[in-house]
Amino acid sequence: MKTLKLPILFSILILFTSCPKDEELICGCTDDQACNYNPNADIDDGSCFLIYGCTDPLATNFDPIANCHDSNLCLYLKDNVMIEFYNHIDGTPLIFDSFTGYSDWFSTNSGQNFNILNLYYLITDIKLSDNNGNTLKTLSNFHFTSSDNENSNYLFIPGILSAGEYENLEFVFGLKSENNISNSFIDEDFHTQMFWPDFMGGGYHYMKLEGKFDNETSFYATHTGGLDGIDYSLSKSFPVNIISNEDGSTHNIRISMDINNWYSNPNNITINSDGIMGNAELQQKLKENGEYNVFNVQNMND
Amino acid sequence: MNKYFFYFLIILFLSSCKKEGCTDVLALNYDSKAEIDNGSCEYYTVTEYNIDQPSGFPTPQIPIENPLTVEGVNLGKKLFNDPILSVDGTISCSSCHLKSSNFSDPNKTSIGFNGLQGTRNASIITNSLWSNSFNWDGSALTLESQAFEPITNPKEMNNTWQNVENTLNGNEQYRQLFMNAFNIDYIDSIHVVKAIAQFERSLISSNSKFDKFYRGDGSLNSSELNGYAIFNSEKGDCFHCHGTMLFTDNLFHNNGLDSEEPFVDNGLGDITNNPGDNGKFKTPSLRNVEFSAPYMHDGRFSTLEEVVSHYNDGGHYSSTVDPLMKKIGVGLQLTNQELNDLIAFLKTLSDVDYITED
Repeated sequence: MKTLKLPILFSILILFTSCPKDEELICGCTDDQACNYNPNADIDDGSCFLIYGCTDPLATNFDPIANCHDSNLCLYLKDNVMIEFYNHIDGTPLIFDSFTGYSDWFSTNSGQNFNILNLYYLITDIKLSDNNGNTLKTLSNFHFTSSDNENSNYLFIPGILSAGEYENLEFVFGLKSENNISNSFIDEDFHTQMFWPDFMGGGYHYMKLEGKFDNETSFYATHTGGLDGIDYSLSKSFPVNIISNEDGSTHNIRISMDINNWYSNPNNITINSDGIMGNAELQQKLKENGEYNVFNVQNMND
Repeated sequence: MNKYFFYFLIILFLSSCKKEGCTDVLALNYDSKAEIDNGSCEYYTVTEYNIDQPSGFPTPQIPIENPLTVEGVNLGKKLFNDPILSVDGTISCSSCHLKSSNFSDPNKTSIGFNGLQGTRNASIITNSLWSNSFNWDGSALTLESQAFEPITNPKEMNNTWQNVENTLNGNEQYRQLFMNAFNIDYIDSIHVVKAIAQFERSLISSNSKFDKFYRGDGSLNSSELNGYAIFNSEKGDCFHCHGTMLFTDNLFHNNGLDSEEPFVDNGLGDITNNPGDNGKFKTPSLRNVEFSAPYMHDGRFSTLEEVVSHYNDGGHYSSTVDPLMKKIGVGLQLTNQELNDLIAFLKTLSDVDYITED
């Protein structure tokens, strides 16, 4: 009995939904929820497509049952970006030693000896752009790198790049004036460590580079930031030529900082133990050195 | 009709025999003998304890497993002040964390059970809601875990948790207060430290003369303003460690107190077992610093004048001294007037209402 019931029911349904051969009436889908809804149809012919989903077989969430395509529902396995913040001194990598801190001694281009005990800095507005300067993708609004935390040398951004070509990587060293506002990162871990007193214009340090110079008992603190509201941040752009095929692969980018070049090219700066936060002339010189040859970017997949 | 009336009478008869009361096992007044619920159930409720977010402070992080309630904070306050927690009933938390001293100890080191002395000055508890490590060496990462320690420390309360639980459970008032705060029949150590931590998180000081100045409700005099400028520039370079509205970076530093190594007290180094951390201690907040003497982890300085002199003279070199102690042995070289101005500014961080009001 059971086996007979279904074909009978089905026949009855067909009978009712089949379109009459009357030229006055238009047959079609009359359900306004359907993706093939025909507002002119008078009689519903059972052709309504009502199952919304991603019908693109290339998408990760391709739905074989769906008959209504909605491109907004499709998820693609977009490519990932891994940024490494690589700190070196004239090609010698600054090795993070969590046990004793940095202790190797280096020499500036003008022959002054120094070591590095602490290095903290903010990189902001990290973007990929085309050759006409159009932003194609914002990778991160800000990233804090700390010598106390080796993981902070890496920034992984999953599923960010849809198919296409990304010619340049842009970033700001420090914070542009419009973003360099006291307490704007109040709930970030670096807030208490990087804040820049209101007395000197407020906002945050761009960088705190600290260590010894000349001998074991002399200390320096190269702290850069926007003194009295003057913007000493650096906007940098480097070719990376990333091509995403949207196959879920990871594009490794290295942003490198040559610490030695903060103190030379074009301005030779002698390290001493005087605080420099209130020194507009030195902040300007450091900015010029930073512009010139401190940063570089490499596409490590090349 | 007669038949239905008969049934009705039977039901009425049966139901009148059943005891009425609260039949919900989850209710506070659950009556196991009651068979008919008469709507009298009363449920456990607590009153949320509201924190006024001070201007310029970060969003506080409160553990989700221990939200602040009025009942919990009040119970914590009672426990904090009650010597019942110590083995001989003589020492409370407040014996060494005095409100009048910004919840620190006016003695260099604290005297605990049987007159025994510790080795460090009791840590300040004020504004610990905005801290993520506790004790001078950062040995505790939550206020709850911190509160576990003094109870059994032989130089502090010298008690055992079993004894604390027995004593509190034998106290009808505490049983009721713990029931009200946590809905528990048996008082255990976890809820004791939870209550104490709630009270500690309620200790917020944010209404000093400086706060009023910051909010635009008051002004500083010229000496205080000059001190503010010294504090917040590299002339005094206080702000790198004692910055923001918290007046601490919540980090650990060696501020050049001693040159001899090994250090008498390794501080953070003994917790991390990293020799690079030896001699580092947690930066205390400078809020109410006027009231929290003596100063440093070992209470070695008894006045603010001695503290600023330490920085003005440049401190002592050791292998882990912080690079921000830039001119070791030379120091800030501020004039006496500048030192006085700096101290005048530090005293604007005093929140007298907080220290004095009950």
